[in-house]
Amino acid sequence: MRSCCAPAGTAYLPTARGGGGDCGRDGVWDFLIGGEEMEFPEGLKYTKDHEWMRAEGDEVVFGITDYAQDQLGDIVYVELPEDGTTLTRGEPFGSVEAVKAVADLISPVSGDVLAINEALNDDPSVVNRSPYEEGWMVRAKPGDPAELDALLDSEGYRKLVEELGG
Amino acid sequence: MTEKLRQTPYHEIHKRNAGKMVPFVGWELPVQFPHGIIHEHRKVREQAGVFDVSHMGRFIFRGPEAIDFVNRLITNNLAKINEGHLLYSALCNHEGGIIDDVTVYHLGTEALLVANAANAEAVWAWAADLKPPEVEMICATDDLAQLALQGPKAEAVLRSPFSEAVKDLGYYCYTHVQWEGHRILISRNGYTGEDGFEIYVPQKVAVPLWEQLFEWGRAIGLEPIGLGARDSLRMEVNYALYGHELTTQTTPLEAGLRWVVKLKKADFIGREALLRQKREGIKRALIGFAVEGKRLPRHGYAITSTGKEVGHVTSGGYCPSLDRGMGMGYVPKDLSAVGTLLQIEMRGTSIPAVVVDRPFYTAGSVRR
Repeated sequence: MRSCCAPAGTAYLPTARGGGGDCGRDGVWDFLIGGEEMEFPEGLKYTKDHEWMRAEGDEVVFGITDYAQDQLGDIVYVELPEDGTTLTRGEPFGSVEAVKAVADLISPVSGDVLAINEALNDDPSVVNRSPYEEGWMVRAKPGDPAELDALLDSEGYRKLVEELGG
Repeated sequence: MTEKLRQTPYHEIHKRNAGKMVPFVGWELPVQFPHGIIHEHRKVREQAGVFDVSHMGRFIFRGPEAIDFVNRLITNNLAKINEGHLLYSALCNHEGGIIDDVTVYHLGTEALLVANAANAEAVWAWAADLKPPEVEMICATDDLAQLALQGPKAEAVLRSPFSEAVKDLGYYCYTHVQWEGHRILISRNGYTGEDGFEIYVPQKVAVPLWEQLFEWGRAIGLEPIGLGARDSLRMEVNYALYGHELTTQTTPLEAGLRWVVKLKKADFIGREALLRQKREGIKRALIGFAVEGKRLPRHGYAITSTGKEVGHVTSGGYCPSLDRGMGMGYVPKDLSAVGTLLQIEMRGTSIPAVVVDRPFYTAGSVRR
């Protein structure tokens, strides 16, 4: 998940990416910290772009982390790829529109999309309530399972979030 | 270069309420509380909420010529209202560009001018530079806290002595209430499209008054509201926001604020330029638009017509009460009619948009 700040001014928050003020800085929601205890479930893999991934046999399921949903706030639309789309690790594959910000979804692996979570179309706020379970986004078949080894574990991701001030 | 952020008297309360504190034009303020922006938005539309707007600039103009002087600074006509009333106005430079949008309270011989936090210093400097020696300017920003109690149940929250004071209070009128030994100003106005009040309270009783309001408001589930919902509420009723719809590069005639420009009143700063613009006709106009699909238009996105850029989005996003993405922006006058088809360039995709009537949301409880 990547975002960017809006043009300087009196915006209540940095909002849009690509709207004339794309400054390429990650983590613009870092000041939006607070509230409940953040969850970092064991057994999941994490990316620096604030996505989680779970291996299920030779398939993977992924979505955005608790930290990511907390930073975004109320999510009103999740734009996901169609079945069969080929994902490239590190490339955007969709986006999340929240009330105050929009963020690209960055693919944690290369591979083919097997299924997407259709339920998010009717109620995207599921991602806020249950980012690791009901709020999953994509099921995919990774092309190179070795890519998974490069991802962070729960502890590594927790440290990353702590460094960001979470 | 990190300047220390200013805090309002409610800072500790916001933190206790788990507000997400963010820097906002030099102040540290809550953008939202744990239930989130959509919840807070609906709370104000359906019941009531309290906004801490203590960051606004509050300036008192004193002296026999104070009213006349303030009237020379603003485009609306302070001579047309009396003590007990307030008005909304633009405050322009000599070219008709908007320095700020303000509310002005007619206090009899004095005037209270409330400026946006982002412009408070600029407005102060502008006025101080122009004022005659007889007019005294007093900065009351630190002496007073300012709350906005907004929503259809706002009046129902208030009890004695406030309830008697506001019972027959008209829209854009104010009165004073004696409470805990202090004089509190309460006016019926707001920035949400709902009925409600703005309350100016001396620092000393700022926190006790907040606690009193929330004790009274328990019955209707009164909640604190952050900057996020303040923005979505005002956008849904198309109230302009400085730095977005309003800048020194826009005039009130372009911004749809013709109703606060009184060209026939006594001379005021910017009048010549605005008269000329009225005579020649405006070349661009502020529009409201709705977009197709679920992607959201956001501040800075380009507005295009048949592939050509014709403007950009000044405010945009999700409208919780209408469940769709809408926005505002400036386009050439001939593309501003309701029904005109345009496109918004959203992150690499052209999304169809249509010019719609303003305000977007018309079911509010605001009294007019």
